[in-house]
Amino acid sequence: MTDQLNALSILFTEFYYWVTVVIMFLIHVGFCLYEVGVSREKNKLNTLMKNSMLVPVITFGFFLVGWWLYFAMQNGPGITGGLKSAPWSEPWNELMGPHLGGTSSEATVEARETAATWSRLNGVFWAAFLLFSWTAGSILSGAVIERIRSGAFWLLALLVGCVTWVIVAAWGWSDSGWMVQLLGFHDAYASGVIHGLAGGSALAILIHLGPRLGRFRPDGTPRVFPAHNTWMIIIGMFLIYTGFWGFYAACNVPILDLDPAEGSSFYSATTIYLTPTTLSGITVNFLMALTGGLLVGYMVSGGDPFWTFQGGLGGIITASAGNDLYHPMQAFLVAIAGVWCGYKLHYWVERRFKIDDAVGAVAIHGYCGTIGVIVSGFILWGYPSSAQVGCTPITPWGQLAGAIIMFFVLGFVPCYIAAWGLKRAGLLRIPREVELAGLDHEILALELEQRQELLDAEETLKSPGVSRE
Amino acid sequence: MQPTIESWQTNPLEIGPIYPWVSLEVWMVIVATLFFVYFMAWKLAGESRKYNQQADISPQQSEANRHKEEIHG
Repeated sequence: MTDQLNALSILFTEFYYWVTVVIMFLIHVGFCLYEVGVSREKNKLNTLMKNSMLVPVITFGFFLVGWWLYFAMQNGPGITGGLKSAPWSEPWNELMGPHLGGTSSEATVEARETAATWSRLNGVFWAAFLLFSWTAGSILSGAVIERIRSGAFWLLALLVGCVTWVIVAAWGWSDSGWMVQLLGFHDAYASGVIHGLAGGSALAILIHLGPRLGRFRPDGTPRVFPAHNTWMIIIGMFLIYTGFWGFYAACNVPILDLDPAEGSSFYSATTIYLTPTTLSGITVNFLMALTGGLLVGYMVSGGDPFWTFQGGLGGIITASAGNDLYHPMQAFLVAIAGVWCGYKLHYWVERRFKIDDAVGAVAIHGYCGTIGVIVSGFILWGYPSSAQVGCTPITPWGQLAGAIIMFFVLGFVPCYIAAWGLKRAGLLRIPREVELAGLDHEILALELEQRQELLDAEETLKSPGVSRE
Repeated sequence: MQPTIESWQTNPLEIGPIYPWVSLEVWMVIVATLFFVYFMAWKLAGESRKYNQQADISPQQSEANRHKEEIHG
């Protein structure tokens, strides 16, 4: 980093991603609050620990394999080429630790350049992707509360957070991914890459897991389990919204010289496909999508707070695929369409197939994300999908194929097989006795015992002949 | 054991990794992975043991719960 402009760009990029990671941390805090708020009193601590512990579990898995998969799998492998070499992403590579970019005097020019760039950016890029992985895991977590075993959930979260979503990102969320090259796939802020995939994964797990006891009446109509703390849900949801700013920022490259001509420069923020965009533009689109989602969520649910806030999130998720290019009104209208469809689909699937999605995760992430990818294919039809010369343009069929790959091929199928295996091994669901008593029943019993002891002591003191001194 | 950095008064362009035990990374990854695999196995086995115990320990309670469920759905 001897050239001053180059050094400034790299140091700015390093700091930029570091800030996005800190903001994105709020998404996980929000998911925790939200999930615990939705759960019943008898399950709240178990719900908290199940979700919180996905942080260390996914982090270790992502360090071990996830980061390497993102680079290695971009060609398929076997579709546009073989496994890609990315030594900086291997868990034992020097560049995974604190490194100042220096190399030995025998190193090649390529090795020197790799070390100079990745020594500053590897850790912050890794962390930004890791936070996306936590989000993918958290999406599953909410859907399966109050009856899944934590160990089984963590295995499934490892599969989604460290393998399947990363492979999809390698294929469709990188300018050299095969889906971008061959299908013209474009999903700027991960409508399908994270949300569609995680929603499909959650649906597959829910099929094997089954509904919570008593969730459906004998005639098949669903019962509503009241949330134990509404404020936790609302604060959690606002934290998720806040964290989403970091999510959007982390999907961008903050500064890049896009001018192909020698001797002149044009600096801009870009998407992950290295196509130019502006933080200003995506900020307006983010807020307009949130607005559309909140309005239609409120309307379609008759003012229900749960679905109104979920609608806001669903609006952002639906518009995300094309929010780098949409006009704000397009973001607004796409959000409305996505949330309306997601809400209707949620209740249709619930009644038709008796799927108990405790937080509406499949609807808000899975359906809205998938719809967003498909709709963007029509609105952005003909746009270049990436910055590469001669790249395949965005088309409705390319986006449809991408949506199917994300929701079904790498979302639904792997989790369906994994959840089936866990169910066969008797490791997926808690016993009915424990479910009825509650996952926190031991703690609740202790609390009751202590309360009873206090009442007994009070009674003893009130009885005649007992002095208070 | 020799520290990776013995003095900062050198040309910074020649400084690479600054953490200790450079060249033992593969071994550290193996040890950490073994611990992680142990943690997951411990959790899965412990959870099975705990739930089986809780479900079997009180057959009367179990019966009562089933009865309760039949009433309340």
